[in-house]
Amino acid sequence: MGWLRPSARGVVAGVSLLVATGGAVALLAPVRGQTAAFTDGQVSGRIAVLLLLAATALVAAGAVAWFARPGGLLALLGFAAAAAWLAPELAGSPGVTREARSVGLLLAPLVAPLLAHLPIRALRADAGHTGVRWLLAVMYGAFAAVSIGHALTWDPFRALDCAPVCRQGDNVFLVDRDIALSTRLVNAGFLAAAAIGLSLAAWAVRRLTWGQRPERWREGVVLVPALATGLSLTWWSIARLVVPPERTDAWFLGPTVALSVAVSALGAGVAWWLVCELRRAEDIRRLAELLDAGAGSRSLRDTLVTTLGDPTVRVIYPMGDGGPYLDETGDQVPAFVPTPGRAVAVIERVAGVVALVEHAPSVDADLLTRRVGAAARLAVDNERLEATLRAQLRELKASRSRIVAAGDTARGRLERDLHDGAQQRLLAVSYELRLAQAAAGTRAAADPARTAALDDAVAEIDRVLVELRDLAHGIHPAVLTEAGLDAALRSLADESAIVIAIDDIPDARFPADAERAAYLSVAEAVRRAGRAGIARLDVRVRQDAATLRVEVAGERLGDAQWLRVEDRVGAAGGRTTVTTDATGGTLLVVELPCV
Amino acid sequence: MRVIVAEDVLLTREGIVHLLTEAGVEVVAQVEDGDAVLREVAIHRPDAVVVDIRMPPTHTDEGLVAATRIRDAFPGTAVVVLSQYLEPAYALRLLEGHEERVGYLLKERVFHPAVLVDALRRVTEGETVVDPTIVARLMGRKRLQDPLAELSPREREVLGLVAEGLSNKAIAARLFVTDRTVEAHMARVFSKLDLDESPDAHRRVLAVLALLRA
Repeated sequence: MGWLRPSARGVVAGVSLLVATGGAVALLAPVRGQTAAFTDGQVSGRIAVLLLLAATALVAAGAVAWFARPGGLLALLGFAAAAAWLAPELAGSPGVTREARSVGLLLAPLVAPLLAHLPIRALRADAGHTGVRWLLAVMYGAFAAVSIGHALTWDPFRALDCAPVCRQGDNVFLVDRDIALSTRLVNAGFLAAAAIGLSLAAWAVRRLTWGQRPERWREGVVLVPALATGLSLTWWSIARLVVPPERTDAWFLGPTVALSVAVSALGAGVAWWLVCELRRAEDIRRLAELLDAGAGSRSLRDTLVTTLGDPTVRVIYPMGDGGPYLDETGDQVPAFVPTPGRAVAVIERVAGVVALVEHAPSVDADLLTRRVGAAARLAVDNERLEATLRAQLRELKASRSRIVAAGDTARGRLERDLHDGAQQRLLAVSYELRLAQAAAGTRAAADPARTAALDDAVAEIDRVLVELRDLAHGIHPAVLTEAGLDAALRSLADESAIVIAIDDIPDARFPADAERAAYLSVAEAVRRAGRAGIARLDVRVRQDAATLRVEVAGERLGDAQWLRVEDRVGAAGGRTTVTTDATGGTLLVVELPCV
Repeated sequence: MRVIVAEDVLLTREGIVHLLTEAGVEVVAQVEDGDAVLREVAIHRPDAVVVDIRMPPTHTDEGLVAATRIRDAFPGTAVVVLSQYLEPAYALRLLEGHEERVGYLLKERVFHPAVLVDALRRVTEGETVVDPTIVARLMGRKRLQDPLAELSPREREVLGLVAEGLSNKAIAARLFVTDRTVEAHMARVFSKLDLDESPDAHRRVLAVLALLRA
């Protein structure tokens, strides 16, 4: 609360505690105070204990907040709520001064907005929400109006329900006695309190059912009492409105007991929440030390997840002004859009924003930014570098695959051009030659030299056609693209000079790059086997779920680098392993993703 | 004999038509793609169709597809597929399910004297013709467990010639033996390939398929 100077905060806290103490004393005074205004009626010993318990819980929440969030509004809210909670006892106590009773009268109506504000503030639900802040401002304004108007017009001495304990001039703020107006104001206050109670309950339910799961569980310690407080506040307010003031039976006691219990739980819950918050702050401090020390082997995100107990933490690194953003795996995040209901801690350096941490809103973002930002420079830089590297690596892999695919496409086109262009033309030439050959052969005066030359030309063209076909096949085995791995490998076996034992090959079709890589791996092994004079190769192809596994076993294939295979397989996103056993047998294993 | 020629390259198509006409074969229609050939076959009901394996639009296996569709729809029409591919997988694809009246010739053989005409004559007579180059390749296979291992070299040779579409008489002439000897070889081939039960014409084709699948 920037607008309250530290000294003013002390004053508010002091006054609140004084009022609360006064109320407590009035409550415990030998003459059991008959109360006025908001909690009229006789207060029995047991009820007094409950009221006191609730006030104690509120003070405790305030006290813990004083340490957990030094200088924060929450401590004042706790103390003020306690004061407003016991203010009616003060107002109705015959044993204190007129001024004290008047202050009690003035403060009593504020209990409803204070009780509602307390859990909202504790969970920082108002931070950064202009709407919530406006709502709170309107709420406080309305109750201040009711409270001041009531104080200016109400004369306890003339009020029927106050008669036994109220004296002349008990309300020092009285300006113009108007019982009708003040009664209407009081009723309006009760109505507003009922509305606030319902809103509080609705807010608690929404937050309990809407938020991220782990967060929800933790916030329950505040939200469940807040829900109970909201509901019982509504019940209590409506009871105030409809039950005649002189009734002191269950109609009055029921909601009072319920509200007291709920407020006690709320105070305790807020206090506990703040203790947890202190512990988390301590954790963040330790995290900061940890990160400063080099973060160990775990990533920044993993460390944050453990420390904050929030598995949904996101860490995002901006790569320049306004993006692009990378997450810790190096995946590009097109635009940083915070998840609704989550908070973002911005970690900045002189150069600008280096990381964004999206986390549960209940974690203090300032603390996270300050502590982690200051301490985790090395870790953040490392992470960021790693994310960049991952992104670059991914881009490199994609580019490698694209290059290989482009090469394959070009080879495919070349093969087609050879078949459909050169081969067709040669066929046509061969036809012409054969016509000439036939004509030369049938002519009466056959020229043997010319006939022989034509025969040679026809034979040569036939050889060229065969070579052309082999060349085209070498450039791109059309059977692979058209009939698949099984047919292509069997064809490879047919062509080769060595025995290739092929185990059952899955008849299915696989992605083109996987099929090509598998085929070329076997082809390369066959080439090496041919060169090394090996008589036999064993080829096995299997599909294990999403992996196409090709195994080629042969004697003395050698453990020289299988660069061609590795490049191919790597480009298809696969893995190559070559093992040589003691007897010199080589096993080439190629694993390719095939989904 | 009435024939339709399906080939997308003009020069080759005209060459084939010329060659067939020279040999006394009547070419009733010339088409450029697989869909057109089916239409023309429905109209003319020719004795045989010569179809290129690669035709528009994708230039991959349109001819093969057209061939199987012709054999399915018009059992009386024989088909000879001209192909660039040596791989038995293609020939097998053509023969499986349509064992008779089909031929698979390498394209470079088209203009060899009499090869195409010869093949057309054989397929219209109900035979199956596989290009000798492919048969030679099949015969040269090196296998660990050869399904044809039980065949003697002579029996293999006879089976290869059957696959090329030669009749027993032609085989006898090629091998300089008597028809009876060829028949005896064939009987042993059938027996070793467990084809004793089938009718004779069908058995020959099944033997060829066994060779292709081996």
